[in-house]
Amino acid sequence: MAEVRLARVNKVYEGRGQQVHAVRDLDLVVENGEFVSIVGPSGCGKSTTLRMIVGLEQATSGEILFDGAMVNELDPQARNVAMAFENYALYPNFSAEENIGFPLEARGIPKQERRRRVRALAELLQIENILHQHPNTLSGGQKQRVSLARALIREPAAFILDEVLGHVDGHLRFQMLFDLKRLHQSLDSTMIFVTHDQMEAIALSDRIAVLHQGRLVQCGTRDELYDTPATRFVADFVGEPPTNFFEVRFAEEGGQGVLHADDLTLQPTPEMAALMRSRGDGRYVVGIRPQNLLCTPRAGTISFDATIDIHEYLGERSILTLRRGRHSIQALASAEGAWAPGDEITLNYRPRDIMVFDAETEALVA
Amino acid sequence: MATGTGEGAPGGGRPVRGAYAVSAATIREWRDDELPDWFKKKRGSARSLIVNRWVPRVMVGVPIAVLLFIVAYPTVQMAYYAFHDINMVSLFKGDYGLIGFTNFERVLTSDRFHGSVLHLAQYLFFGAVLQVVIGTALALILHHCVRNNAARLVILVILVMPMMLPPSIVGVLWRFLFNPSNGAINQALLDIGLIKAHIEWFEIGTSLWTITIADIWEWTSLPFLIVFSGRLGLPPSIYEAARVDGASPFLTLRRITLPMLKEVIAIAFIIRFMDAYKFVDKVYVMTSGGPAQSSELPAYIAYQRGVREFEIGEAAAYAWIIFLFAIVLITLFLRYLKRVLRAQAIA
Repeated sequence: MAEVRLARVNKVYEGRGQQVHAVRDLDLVVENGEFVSIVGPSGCGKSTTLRMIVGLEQATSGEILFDGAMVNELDPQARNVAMAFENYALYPNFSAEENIGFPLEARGIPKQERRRRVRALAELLQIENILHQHPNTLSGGQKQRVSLARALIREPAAFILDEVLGHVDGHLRFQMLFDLKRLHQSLDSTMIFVTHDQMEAIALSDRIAVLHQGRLVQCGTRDELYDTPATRFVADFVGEPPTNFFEVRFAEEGGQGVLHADDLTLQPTPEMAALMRSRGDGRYVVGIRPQNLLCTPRAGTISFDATIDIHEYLGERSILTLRRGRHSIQALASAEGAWAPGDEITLNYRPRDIMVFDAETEALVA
Repeated sequence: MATGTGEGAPGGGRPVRGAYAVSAATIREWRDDELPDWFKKKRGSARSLIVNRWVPRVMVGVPIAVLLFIVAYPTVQMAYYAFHDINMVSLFKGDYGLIGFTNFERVLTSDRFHGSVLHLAQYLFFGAVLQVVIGTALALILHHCVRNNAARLVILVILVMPMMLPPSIVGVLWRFLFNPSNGAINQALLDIGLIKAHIEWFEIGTSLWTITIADIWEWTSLPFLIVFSGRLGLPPSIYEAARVDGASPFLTLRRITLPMLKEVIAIAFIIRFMDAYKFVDKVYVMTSGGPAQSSELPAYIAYQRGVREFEIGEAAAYAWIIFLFAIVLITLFLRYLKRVLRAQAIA
């Protein structure tokens, strides 16, 4: 197992006279034994990053280091990383057993030994009964397990998992999330997991790296991303349902700083107000997570009224979509409440749950 | 999404092309006024794609009738001739009798036939097999070494050119090239010092080899094309997986590329073997089977006996023997193919 370090890595694709700058000045360290997820929307450069770590793409500039040794010039064969692919990339002419054993075969390990190790791993992943089958006869979930097993069979410097849960549905996804977590704990290995689904990343990772338009926006633990998102984009991307945003103007009212979003007035903490006052800038974007909009008042909460538009019932929770002037606001509520469209209810928030972003740079202010 | 293509439920934007033209059953469910304008414009004046049920029957029936007439009828007629004592004279007199398997016996016991079977075996192995082997190697080398699409196309066109020439013309060309006394090949070999004296390309023992070389030159591009297109169809992600798994290029070739191309290569073999059984053109043009019948193949003898010497009964027996041989071989190939495909759950 190894520490994977990316230092000012750039990737520029050239084609037909135009350049695509897919990854810009990326700095990222994955500690030995750490589980790091790279998340971002489609086209943010996360797959390119991963392919550069594996060696399927050459970095245009910058350094990729495994345990301090530069691997930029090395073939994937020489880097000793294992990868599970989004589309499985199983060898269709091999049985599942041959597929899993192929990395060992490539290293010249004798058949008996291969067989023993494949069987042991198959037991761990509960795929002993499909070892003789060819990939075309397997279901999506089974293929993904075989593909994972093929990555796990050897002891690589790092495991690279590219959207491995992308094609797996509902129930099985939970099972596989659990399996991955368990595997990481038992193998104590460096794992880099790419996904567009922030829920998967939150469920699995020690740290999460958020990429946006080829740049690393923030890398941190779940709580860091959740409570102090570096930019509006991170606040929007991490968390379900997405954060409510309001374009606001900072104003002084009765010796207090307040935020006006048309007819809705939000109350920041005194520290935030002081900060905004010192910046002297009037325009901000404010975010409040739906989880932090409460239907029942608590100590220190401030309230405003809104009208229910849509009520989505999610089992143990409900998502309410509400209207207040021209704002559309989402809030999480308990499923027991008798929510009916058209009802006017009171929403409560704690001033310290407000996230204030710069209107121009969209970076977190407070 | 900026372009708006692909996000097309009916009634929304412009749907994915062909979404309405799935089947006749789907079309029937759409009333004309429900169809979008772009579809009606594309469709033109035709009101409906549903035709009288006799139209497809006639469209399929005519080719079947033609095929029956030009394939099935002669085959049956040939079987009839094969069991009769028939040549040109008796055919015109209308006086020929049933002689059972005599024609077959005559063919199967003749030295000429035995010789031609050996020749065919030699041609199959060194002609057809080598064509597929060389073609496969060329295809994989081209795919591996040349990455630029334009360069690939140029090489492809050059390599495929021999196949575009009429086989008999190729025969004539190579007869000139191989001419022992003033042909270009002997001259070239002498000039670069590979040989001391002229090679007699059309002697007993060499003439069939000469024909085989000409045939390899012309037909190697067919297996090449087939395997090349097969190689293009293999998913790149599998090769990425192989690289990550640490497989060397040779292991990848041996364990992944060749096994995955084996159906395609088998198809190339089938096509070249089928052609081998009816291989007459170059034999006729280059050597006429000679000298001393040393380059005769069964199909050439059948042609010689039937069309030249009008021993129709015997020629028919030859044709049937070749036919049965071909059936056996092709059946074996197809069974192999089926087994491979079933193992991978494709068919």
